[in-house]
Amino acid sequence: MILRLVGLRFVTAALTLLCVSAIVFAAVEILPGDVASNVLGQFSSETARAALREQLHLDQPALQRYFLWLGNVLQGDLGIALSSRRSIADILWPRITNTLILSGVAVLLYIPLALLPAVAQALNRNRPLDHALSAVTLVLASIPDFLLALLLLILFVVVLPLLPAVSIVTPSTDFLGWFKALILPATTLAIVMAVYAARMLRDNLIEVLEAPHVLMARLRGFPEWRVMWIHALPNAIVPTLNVTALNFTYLAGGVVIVEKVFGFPGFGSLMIDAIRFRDVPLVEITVLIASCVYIFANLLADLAAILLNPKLRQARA
Amino acid sequence: MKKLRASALITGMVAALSSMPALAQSEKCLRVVGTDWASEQQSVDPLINNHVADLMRLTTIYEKLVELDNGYQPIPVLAESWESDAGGSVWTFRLRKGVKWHDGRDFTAKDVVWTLKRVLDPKLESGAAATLSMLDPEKLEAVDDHTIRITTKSPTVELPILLSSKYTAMVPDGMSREMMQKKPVGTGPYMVDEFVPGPKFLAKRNPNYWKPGMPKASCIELSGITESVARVAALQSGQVDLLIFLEPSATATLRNDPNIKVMNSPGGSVMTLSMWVDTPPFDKPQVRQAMKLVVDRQKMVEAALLGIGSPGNDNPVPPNSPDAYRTDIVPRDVEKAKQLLKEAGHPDGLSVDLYTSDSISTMVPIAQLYQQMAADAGIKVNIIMSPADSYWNEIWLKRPFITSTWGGRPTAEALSIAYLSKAQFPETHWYRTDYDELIAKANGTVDAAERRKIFQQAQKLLAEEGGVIVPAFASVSAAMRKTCSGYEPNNNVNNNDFSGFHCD
Repeated sequence: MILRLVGLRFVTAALTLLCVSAIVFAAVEILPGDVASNVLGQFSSETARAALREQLHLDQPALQRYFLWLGNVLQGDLGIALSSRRSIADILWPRITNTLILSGVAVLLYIPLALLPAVAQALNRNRPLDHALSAVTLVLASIPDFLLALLLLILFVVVLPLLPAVSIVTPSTDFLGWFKALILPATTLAIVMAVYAARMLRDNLIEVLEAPHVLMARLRGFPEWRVMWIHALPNAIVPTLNVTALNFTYLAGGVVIVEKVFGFPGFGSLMIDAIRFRDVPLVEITVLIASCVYIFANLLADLAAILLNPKLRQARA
Repeated sequence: MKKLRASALITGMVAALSSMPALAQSEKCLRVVGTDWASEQQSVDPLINNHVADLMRLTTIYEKLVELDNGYQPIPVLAESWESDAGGSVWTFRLRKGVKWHDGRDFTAKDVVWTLKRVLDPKLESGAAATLSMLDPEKLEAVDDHTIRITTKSPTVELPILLSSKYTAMVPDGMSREMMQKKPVGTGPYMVDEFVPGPKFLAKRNPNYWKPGMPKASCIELSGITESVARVAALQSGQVDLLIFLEPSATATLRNDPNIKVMNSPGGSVMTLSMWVDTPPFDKPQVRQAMKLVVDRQKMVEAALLGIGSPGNDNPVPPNSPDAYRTDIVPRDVEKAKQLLKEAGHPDGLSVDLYTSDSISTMVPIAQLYQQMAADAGIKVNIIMSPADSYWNEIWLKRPFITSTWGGRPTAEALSIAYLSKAQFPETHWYRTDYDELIAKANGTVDAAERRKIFQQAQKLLAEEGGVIVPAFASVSAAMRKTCSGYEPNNNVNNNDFSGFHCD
C-alpha cells in the first residue's frame, strides 16, 4: 500500500513540476526588463540590446523557446545561464552543496532547540520556567525571519564581537572558517523552525505525561528521565514529526532570506540573482529544484504520519 | 545523546572564541566590499560595466589613457601627454613608456587602436559608442609604438576628457570578450591567472605595475554585501578593510567609531527631479519656475543627504565649480512660487505625481522632502514608489515627473547627456535648438575662458527655463579602518583607484 501511495505521489510530482516550469516561464516573460537590459545596463542603446537578444536567441517567440528548453531538460541538458554563458550544471553544484551543508547544520541545531524547551516546560508545567519559555517561544515565533537574522547579527557581531558579520565562504575557506560562517545563518533558520515544534511538543508531552501507561511506568519505579525519554516522548513526538517535515519545506524558501542577509553563497541567493537578471534558464532550473525539495518534504511528512500511526497502516490489512 | 551534542557545540564555541584574533586575517590581502554582488553576471570586459561589482573588478584589472580629478580635469595615466591642432580635430596622444600588460607584453599604440575600435563597434554593445561618436574607427593611427593620432569628425576640444569614460579602459590588441572571460589581461595594479565567477574576486599583485612602489599589498579581495547592517558590522569588526559607495545613513553610524575613517568626495552625483517640459502642467515656464522656487536646497543636503553633499542650482554643474554660472545658492521663495502658479492659471495650487524608487537610496528622502517643501506653495505632490529592479527600465524616461541621479561629470558632458535635443537620455524632453547651438559652439571653442562663458550661458538657460530641479549633489563616500590609507573616493563613482590602497 505504501508503494502504491509513493508511486502515485511521484506521478503527481512530475505533473506539478511541469506546471511549475510553465508558470515560471510565463512569469519571467511578463516581468518588465529582460536579460539584455540588465546585463548591458540602463545606459545601453536599443540596438545594443537587440544585438544581445539575437545572440541569446531571445528574439524567438516565447512558446517556441519554452518547448526548446523543455526538450533539452528532459534529455538531461540543463542549459546555459544567459548572463554568464556558463553551463548551469557547473554553476549549481557548488551552490547546492553549500546550501545542503547550511541546511544540515540548521536541522542539527533544530533538534535540541525544539526538544529541550519542550521537555523543560512539560516537566515544570505552570511553574515560572514554563511561563518564561512560553513567552520566549511566542516572541521568537512572531519575529519575521529577516528581522531575526538582523537581530542576531547585531547581537553577536556588533554588541558582542564574537562572530563574523558575513558568511562569504569560498573554496579556500578552511574548516574553522566554515564553522564560524555557518553559526549565525544556521541558528536563525533553526530558531525559526524550532519555535513551532517546541510549542506543539510541549502540549503533546503534557498530554502524554498524564496517560495511563506513563502513570504505570512511574508506579513501577522507573526514574523520571526514563519515563520522559522512553515512555512519553516517542508518543508525543508523532505530530511534531509531521511539523518537522513541513519545516523542511520552509528551508527551501527561508534559506533564501538568510543567505542574502549573511551573504552566504548558496542556492537561495543564486535563485534570487537569477530572477533579478531575468536569466530565464537559470530561474527555471533553480525554481524547479526548490519545488522538488518542497514536494519531497511534503511526501516525507505524509509518509511519516502513516508509518508512525499504526491505525492508518492497518486500514487495509 | 543530548549530552554529546551539547558538549560538541561547546567545544566548537570555545575553539571559535579562542581563535578570535584570526578574525583580523593573517594573510595580507586587502578586503574591499561594495554594495552589491551578482552570482553570475560578472563582467571582465570594460565594455560591460553597469553594476557596482563590475566597476570594482574592472578598475582593479584595467586602466584608461586618462583619468579625471575632482575638478573634472584630465590627469595622465596610460597617456603621458596630448595636444591638438589649432582646429581641435587632430589629436596626438603620447603614451607612457615601460608599461607592461599582465602577460608581459609591452603596452603600445596598437592596443589603443584596438580598444577604441571595440568601443565604437556597434556589435559590441558599448555604452560609450554614443559619447565618442565623433571618433572615426578608420582615423585612429598608430604613428609609432608610443604615439597615436586621432582625427575626429568634428572639432572636439575636450577629447581627453571624453576618453576618460569607464568604457575606454585599455585592453590588449586582438583580445576578444571570450578570451577575456577566461583570462583578462590589463595594465592595472592587480591581476588574475584565470577568471571564474564566484562570491569573491581575488586578484594578486601585478609585479610589473608601472607606478613605482605600487601596489603595496600582495593581493586584493573584492566582494559585495547587499545588507547594509551586515556591511557596516563587517567593517567595524575588522572583517573587511574598506567599504565603498556608502549610503548616508551608514556614514552617520561609522563617523563615531574611533577605529574607522569616513571619507567623502568634495563633489558628487547630481540628484535630479525631472519634469517633461512638453507635458501639462509642466509645459508652462511659470509652473516650472515655481516648482524650483519651493526648494530649500541647504535643508535638502542636511535632511536628505545627512549633510554629505552640497546644494545645487537646477543644473548639473555644481555651484562650487569654476564653470558655474552663479556661486550663490538659489534661495527658497514660497510667495513668489504661489504668485507664479497664479499667473500660470493655478490659483488654488497644483496636484502632481512624482515617481521614485529606493533603487538609489538617496532618491527617496529627496522625494519626500520635496513633497513637504512643495506643499507650502499649494503644490500637492503624490509620491509613487516603484520597484527598484525595474525602475530604470519602466519608469525612468517614461513618466513626466521622476527622481533620478547622474554620476559627477565634467561640464560639457553633464550639460549634454540629458539635455541636448539629440541626447540619448532626454530626461526632461527639453528640445531647444538655442541650447544645442550654445553647447556645440562651446565644444568647438579652443580658448578656455571663452568656452567657460558659453557654458555659463547654457547653464543659465537650463536653470531658468529647463525642466530639471537639481536640489543637491550627493558626495561619494567610503570608509576604511584607521590602520589603512591610500584610497580616496572620487566625485565620479566610476573613477576608482585601488593602486595606492594598503593596510598595516
